[in-house]
This record gives sequence, structure tokens and C-alpha cells, in this order.
Amino acid sequence: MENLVLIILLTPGVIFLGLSFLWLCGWTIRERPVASLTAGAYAFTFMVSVTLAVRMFLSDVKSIELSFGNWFTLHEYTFPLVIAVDELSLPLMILTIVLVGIVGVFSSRYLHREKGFQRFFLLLHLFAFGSLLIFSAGSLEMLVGGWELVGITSVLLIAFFHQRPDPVRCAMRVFVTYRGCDIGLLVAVFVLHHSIGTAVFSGLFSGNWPDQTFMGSGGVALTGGLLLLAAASGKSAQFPFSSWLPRAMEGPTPSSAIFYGAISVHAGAYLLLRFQPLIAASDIASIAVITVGLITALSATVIGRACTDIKTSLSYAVMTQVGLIFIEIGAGWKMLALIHIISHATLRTLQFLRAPSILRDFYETWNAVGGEMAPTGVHYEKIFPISVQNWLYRFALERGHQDALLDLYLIGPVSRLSAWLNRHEYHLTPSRMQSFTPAQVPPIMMEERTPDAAGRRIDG
Amino acid sequence: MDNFPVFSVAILTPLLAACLLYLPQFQRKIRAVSLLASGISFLLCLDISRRVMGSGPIAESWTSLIAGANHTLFSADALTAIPMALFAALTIVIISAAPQRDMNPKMAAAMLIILSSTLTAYAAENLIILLVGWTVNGIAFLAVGNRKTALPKVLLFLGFLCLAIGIGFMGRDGIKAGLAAPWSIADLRTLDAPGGGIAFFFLILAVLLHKGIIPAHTWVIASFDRGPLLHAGLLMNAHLGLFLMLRVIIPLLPQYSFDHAAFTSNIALITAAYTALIAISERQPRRLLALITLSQASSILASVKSMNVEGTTGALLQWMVVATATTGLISIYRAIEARIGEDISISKFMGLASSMPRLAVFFAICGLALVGIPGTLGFIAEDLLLQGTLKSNPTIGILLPVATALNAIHIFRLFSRLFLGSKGPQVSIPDALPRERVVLAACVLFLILGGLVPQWFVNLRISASDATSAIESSVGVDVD
Repeated sequence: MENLVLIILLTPGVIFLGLSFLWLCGWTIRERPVASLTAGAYAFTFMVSVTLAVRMFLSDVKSIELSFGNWFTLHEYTFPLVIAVDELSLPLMILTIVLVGIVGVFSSRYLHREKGFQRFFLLLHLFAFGSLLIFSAGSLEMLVGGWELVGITSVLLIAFFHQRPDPVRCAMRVFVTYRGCDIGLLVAVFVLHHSIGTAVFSGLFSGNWPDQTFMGSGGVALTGGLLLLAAASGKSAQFPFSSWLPRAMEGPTPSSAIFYGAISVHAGAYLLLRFQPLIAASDIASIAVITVGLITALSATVIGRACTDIKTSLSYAVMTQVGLIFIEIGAGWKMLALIHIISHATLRTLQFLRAPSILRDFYETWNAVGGEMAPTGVHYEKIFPISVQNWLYRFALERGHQDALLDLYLIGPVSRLSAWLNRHEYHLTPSRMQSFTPAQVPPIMMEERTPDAAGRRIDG
Repeated sequence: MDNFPVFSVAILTPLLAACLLYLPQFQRKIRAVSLLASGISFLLCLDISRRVMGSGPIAESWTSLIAGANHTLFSADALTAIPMALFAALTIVIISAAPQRDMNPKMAAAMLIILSSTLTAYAAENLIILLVGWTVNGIAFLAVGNRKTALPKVLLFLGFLCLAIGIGFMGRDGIKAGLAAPWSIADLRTLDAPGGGIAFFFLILAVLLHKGIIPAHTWVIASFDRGPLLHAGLLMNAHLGLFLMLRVIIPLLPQYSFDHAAFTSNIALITAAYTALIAISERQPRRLLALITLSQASSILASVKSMNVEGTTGALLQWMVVATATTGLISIYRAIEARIGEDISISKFMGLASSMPRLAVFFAICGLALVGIPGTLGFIAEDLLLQGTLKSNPTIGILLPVATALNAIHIFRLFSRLFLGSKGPQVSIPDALPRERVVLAACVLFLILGGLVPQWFVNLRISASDATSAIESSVGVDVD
């Protein structure tokens, strides 16, 4: 079974390395071999993963932990290479393989003759490797490795159409959010390492998932839980870091499907689910997880109702559901959260992949029922007084004021402070280019505000 | 072969080549001569590293020249051998990637003199020789620097002055104690805190000035902005301030060093955070590169003073990462300047990736390695740095991940503004030339290999960090 785990994990990584090597050597592979290789590789990996699942089930193995020693050792400090497959990680690994395979097949037609065809597939394989590393990691350090790979591929795919400025601006925004929130993950590794002595899951928790108990103290659980929540909120677009998700729709539709409908956006939920025993050991951390999920679910569902394009609507629907998953994790409903992740990811992948054909789908249905389509949805907001409805509508149009609040209280002051300090630097060391002065409106803010100020739609 | 003066030849070859460059018959072969000289230095430094790693420290004495006495002038141990080879390799990268306009006799000679003086400082067993190496290093840079900028001159001169005073006080104690070689580092180690608090004060000041720690950071910004960029990169990546800390201050003045470790660590962390903060509003690529380099380099100093093995090893690895990655970034940026002109602003997207895809990929990998992306040596170095710094300094230490996160954002901003966001120039611009491709690929390979097989790189630096830890243990510091 150990070999099967390795085959599943390494296949996308080997394909990525092989294609990268060929690209660096200047060999451009034609579309058809790339598509066939992708389809064949993920069909093969899917069969291997199903075989693994069946063998684990038949031999009643709850979890497999593979240790490959230490990546590096420095006296007592070690970076363990541990792969763990259990009832939580295996379903998500299979889900990743299936959805990446489907998106690969879809993309081979969708991106036909697109200039960045090969680049897209390179990044897709790297993403698959990163995702499988997240789900199969047996320690937080290894999870961080996969987490960063998923983050960087995500950003590079948002900027896929790099000859237009808007995708690059949006990629920048996503990168800022990811890197900011990743601080929580990096510090969490330190906290766990130095309070418990290890960040290997089998050393942190006793028992098998879902019946695990955290072996550290309440203080560690609180600190670690809040740090992990910050990291998970960034990756899963939860309050107050949710405004990047609609911007991420600038990437090609297949990447939106696999990243923001399926795998990447659920990576934060997976992190919390993996560390649920730690979160459960602290009431404050549990309440914080529920609160973040609740605020996101409520605000995203309100905002989603005022969205006028399909990909933005879907992105807010994703946020709502992931918010509910956070609530389930905070409440300790682990199995429900796992089922919710899998079913939600599958549904959203389908919806995102069909998004470019939504008008065609609508008119087909409309014709099929003879133009007699019943209105969809129930408008619960109508139970509120008109003033509240107006306020909610404004709230939705302004995307929950999240960008404005972040700009006002975080990005704005930091950028202004930076510009003020930098002006003094210019007084001390004038630039050789006399016209140069530090940005009056700091660049990070400019990047965010330009699309809104121009009244352009920036989200898909 | 054991009697071959390997140190002297490694140091004097670039110096000799620098003189030859002014002869008319070599004027048309400047790059070839420079590469040959730095290549010989590199091979000799590699041999020194191999011998040090195999059988421990080695030394070179000049018996016949100085009154028959056996004076050890140069030596190499686990701390110095690897940086010597690394710096010689980085000089080769800079010389190979330098545009033709930077390959006149004066500029090329300055590069070779910087190499020679840096190797002198690294290999010096004698404080006077270290002072000579340090001083010539600065003079070589200032000789080709922008004459309108006084700041680098003043601050580098102050640094030299502080070093001279600090060494002077140490030597005075050596003479008082009747040492045969009062300036020898090995002999001074037999004394208890030579030079005392005054020497420590001036030496620390020299470190802070040379490393560009607040408020001395301005000379680095001015040098990158107005000086010759490649030379500024070489000067910065010599990390002589850090070297002085590890080679002289910690071994000779351990108690003073650890009594004031928190101050040094905190001010380095504040520099890392401050430079990362002001980079948010920076639109000039040269200044942005200076700020990112300063921020990442300051984190090395912060971690050296973390007083634990993780921090020290992380700092030594980060030294390699910062030197290699920033050399790559600076070389690429200079290549862009040579192609499209020096008045570059990142207020607008330039879309150069369509004309220069290979340079874009090299830039992205070097930049991401600098800020610790998995799969590169930077990830290992950042991991150890964070562990070490947060362990010793959990409150101010939080500035380190914040600064690194900000630097990652700056790198991505610079990359996206230079290479993405528009269709790019309508005229044909050449991508990486073969000479640039080879050396930049070597940089990238080094950074990626370090990420894939980190144990080999950790083993290269573990003896040096163990030696520092042994000194820390001797003054009662808990290195665990």
C-alpha cells in the first residue's frame, strides 16, 4: 500500500518536472500529447487511488503513515518527511485526482490554440502535486510546502492572461492576501514545534481520525487554533479576507473551477478539519471558527444575491458554503464537514465548467418547457422593512464594504505611513531620476482602486 | 602541492588581472581576462573548501618574507571556506551577465578588486589584513561609484574608521599581553575580551554601518540607485559586516556579544521590517531591489544573534540564498536596463515577458527563492531562521515573517510590473544571451538543488554554526 501512496503523490510532480524540463530545453510539445498525457495520468492515478482505498477497507486499515526519514536534520531539529493517509485525506486525494482529471480533459478543448496552453497544463500538474501534498502531509511542515505551491500556482493562473493589466492586478491582490495570512501558518508551525516538540500529526493527536484528541495544553490550542484560523480564512476566502475570491475569477474558467470551486478554496477548511481536535480543545478557538464561518456565510449570501454575472455569483455561493463548513468544523461535526466539502467541490466544479455556456443552457431549458419557467428562489429579504432592504442592497452592491474597510483601516494607513517614510528617504538620498518621488497614492492601493473607480467590472 | 600558496594565488590573481586590463593588448578581451582570473580564484577557493570540509582548517604562512618568523596570514575554516567559493562564483555570474557597457577596464577592474579584497577579508588570520581587505573593498566600489553621492563615501569611511579603532584597541591589548603576533585572531583568542567594551562598541558600529542597519541603510539605497548596480550588488553580497560578527566579534568578545545580542537582533529585525515597509510605496526598481536586499540581509544578522543552532545555521544558509538570489535579480535587472534604457519606472506594466520569457522565468525563480518558496534553498533557510529567531525573541521576532511576507509581495509586484500586464514593446528585444543563460541557469540550479537536497547544504554550514554554538555555550548561553 505504501507504494500506491507514493505513485498517487508523485505522478503529477513527475509530469510537471518532465514538461518543465522539455519547455526549458525549448521543446514545445503539441497540444494533443499534453492532453493525452494528462488524461492518461489522472485515469491511472485514479485507479491506483481506488485500489488503495479498497485495500485499506478490506484489510480494515484506518490509516497509513509513511516515514521517509528527515528531509534535513540539525541536531535535535528535524524536518520529517511523513506521509499520512487516513479516512480524512484519502477521500480528498481521490477527489483531487478526479476533478483535476476532469478539468484537464475539459481544458484541452477549452484552451485549444490558446497561447499559454502548455503553461496552463504545467501549472495544473504543479497544483495537483501541491494539493495532494496538502492532503497527504503527515506533518504541518509538509503541509506548508503543499500550501505554498498551491498558492503560487493559483496566483500564476489568475495572471494567466498576462498581457492584460486587470488579471495581473487581481493576481497581486490574491498574492497579498495569501502571503499575509500565511504568516499565521508559519507561526503556528513554530508554536507547535516549541510547545509540543513536533508538528507531526501522529505526535500532536492520539487516535485515528475522526476520533482524535489533541495532546497539548489549552493555551497552545488557543494560540495554534487562532493562527490556523487566520491561515485558513485567507485560503478559503472567509471574513475578513474574502474580497479576493471574486477577483480570482480573472483566470481561465477551468482554473476557476478547480481552484475556487473545488480544491484550493477548501484547503483552508481541510486545514481546520485536520486540526479540529486542537480547535476543539479551546472553546475560544471553536467559537472564533464558528463566528468567522457565520459572518462569511451571511454576508456572502446577501452579496451573492446582488451579483449580475455568473462567475461572481458562484464565487459568493462558494464563500457561503465554505462558511457553513467552517461552522460545522467549529461545532465538531467532522464527518458532516467532510461530506459537505466533497459534495460542494463536485457541484461547484460542474457549475463553473458550465458557466461559459449558461445562456445556452438557460435557453435550452426555456425552450424545453415552452417558455413557462417558474421564478427561482425565495426572496426572504422581503420580510424586512424597506429601509433594511435598501441597506442590505447597498451592503451587497458594496460587496459587504470589506474592501473599503480593509483599505480604510489596514492598507490605507500602512501605505500612507510607507509613503510618508519613503518621502523622507528621498530627501536623504534623492533619486538619480529627478522626476521620481515615492507614490502619492501608494501602489498597492492604486492597484485595488483603479478598477472600481473606473467603474469596470473586475471579477469575471 | 600542500606548499602551494593557494590563498595568495586566489587573492592575487584577480588583482593582477585588474592591472592587466589597463594594458592596450587586453582592452578587447576584458570579459575573457576577467572571467579567467575569477575562474582561477573560484577553482582555488573550491579546493580550499574541499580541503577544509575533508580535513579541517587550513592555513598559509609567509615565513620568508617577514624576518624569518612564521606568520600565518591566511586561514580558512568551516565558516570562511564556503563563502570564499560562493563569492568567487557570484563574481563570475556578475562578470558573465554584465552588459558590454559595464565591461570597460575601470568597471571590470573594480569587480576584480572587490573579489580580491573580499577574499582577503574572508581569509585573513590577521586583523590588519582583514582591515586592508575591508578598506580596499569599499575603495574599489567608491572608485566607480557616482561622484555626486556623498552618503556611501561618508558611511563606508565611518565603517572603516570604526573597524580600525576597534582593531586598534584589540591590538593594543595584544601588545600589552606580549603576544608574538598581537593582531592574530588565533592569538587574541587566548586573551579574555581583548579591547574590551570600547573595541566591541566600535566593531558593532562597523557591522551596523556596513550592513546598512538603520539609520545607515541610506548608503545601500544610494549605492543601488545612483551607483553602478552590479558593483553595489557585489559589495552588499560580500556580507562583510556579518562576517566580522562571526569571525571576530563573537569569538573574541563572546560575553559582550551575548550581553548585547538582544539589541543587535532587535535593530536588525526593525531594519528588516522598516525597509520592507517603505518598499510598499517605492516605484523605482533599483531602489526597490535595494530595499528588498537590505530587508532580507538584515534578517540574517537578526538570526545570527538568536543564540541557537537553528538560527545560526538558518542565517548561514540565508547568506547563501540572499547572495545568490539577489545576484541573479540584479544581473537580470541590469540586462533589462541595457536593453531598454535606465529610466525604468514600475508605475506602469511593461509586459517584457513576451520579449524576454527566459529572463522572466529566471527572475521569478530567483525572486521566489529569495522569499522562501518551497522547493528552493530559501524555504529551508526561512524555516530555520523563523524557528531560531522566534525561539529567542518571540515578541520582536514576529517582525521576521511579516517582513518576509512583505518582501514576497514586493518581488511579485516588481516581477509583474516588469514582465506582465501589457503586450510589451513593439520592437524586437533580445531575450537572455547564451552567456547570461548559462550563469543564471547555474544560479537557479543552485537554489533549486538546495531545496531538493537540503541536508548536503546544511552539512556544509553545520560545522560553522556548531563552532559559534560552542562559543555561546562557553559563556553560559543555552544554545538549545
